[in-house]
Amino acid sequence: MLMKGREGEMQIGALIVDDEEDIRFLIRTLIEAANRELHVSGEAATGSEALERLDDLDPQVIVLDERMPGMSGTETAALILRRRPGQRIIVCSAYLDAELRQKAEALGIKVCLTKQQIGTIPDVLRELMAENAAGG
Amino acid sequence: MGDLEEPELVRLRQRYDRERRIREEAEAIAEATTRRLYHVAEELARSKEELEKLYAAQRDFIAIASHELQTPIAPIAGFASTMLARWGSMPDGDKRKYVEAIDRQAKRLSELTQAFLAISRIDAGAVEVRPQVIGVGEAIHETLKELGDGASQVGVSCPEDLQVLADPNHLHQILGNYLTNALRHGAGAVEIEAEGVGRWVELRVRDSGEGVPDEFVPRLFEKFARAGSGTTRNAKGTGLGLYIVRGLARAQAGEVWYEHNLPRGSCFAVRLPQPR
Repeated sequence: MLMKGREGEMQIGALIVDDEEDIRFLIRTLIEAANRELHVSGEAATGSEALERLDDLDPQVIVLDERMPGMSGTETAALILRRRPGQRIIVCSAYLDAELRQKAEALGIKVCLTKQQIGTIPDVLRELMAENAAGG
Repeated sequence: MGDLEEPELVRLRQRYDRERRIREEAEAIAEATTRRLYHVAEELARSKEELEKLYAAQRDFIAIASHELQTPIAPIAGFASTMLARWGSMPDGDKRKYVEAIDRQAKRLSELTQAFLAISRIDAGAVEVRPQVIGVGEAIHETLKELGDGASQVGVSCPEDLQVLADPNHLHQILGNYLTNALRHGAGAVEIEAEGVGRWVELRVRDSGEGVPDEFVPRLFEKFARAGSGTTRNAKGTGLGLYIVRGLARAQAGEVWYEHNLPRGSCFAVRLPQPR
């Protein structure tokens, strides 16, 4: 959801989807510490929960884990993109191999990060939104 | 041929016979060689298939092991670097929350490392076993005591004088794993039963939770077995515990298995030898 910050600038909302509570907590911490233009619109522990809350939260970007209970991240992404074509998604997985990259690319997901790169999420969110604003 | 002299005829017949024998021998050799080559080709195809399976299993193991190890490392590294970067401006409450997260994940990493070490010993057939005669009831109560308050309601049924020949540490690990799983996944009452059956002691841990889906039962004691496909998982835990339990039981001449706990729930069993 686009929100206005304290000084009137638009904020980018991110939905964090990961079954690990500490990973969600870390990503939230990183996003909230980054600066005022980023905020967390919500969290979900499974793909199904993310789909349930998607319309209410209306996030600009979804940070999606791959290996979760029930649906995998890419299975969830396929359903999200069917409902919201053009939705910005970042896949953030502990193990990122060529197969997962191919699956993500086939869905049109441009950014795949390993959990080691989790600290770059705020910068990646800004870059994605800048591309979006520029019509990328 | 009528014009040929008798000796010439004999020579020709001998030559014909010799050549026929050579041809027949050559054909027999060719046939045997072809048969051998065919078997070699079959064996090579089988070996190739086995190697491919082994390679796929190895690749899956590396993928899942990397995922499992990376999952606790990411928050440890992430919270530590966040604290280093913001130490001066961080409220004490945040510091505590981050350190708690680091502590949780460090413990998890340590458990995983122990599990991988156990697996490498099991896979190499190098599990060290120091069998002793142990009182089964006593072993059960010691394990329950170590599991703490969560295990205080576990029902125990065990003949007073029942003894088992087992390595005390391995028995403790097997019972601890079964009981932890039952308390974690099984809603409702958890019970542990022990009985002597022939030359064996059979131990069963029952819960009245959701049980294990039929299609998952054959893979239950495999490495990284958790209900769900390769990239999904339906339960917490490493998915290594039951594989280790099976390895430890087999190293002591025992066996493990799963039974449905009718009308509802799971029953995990282990069989170990009774002292003679």
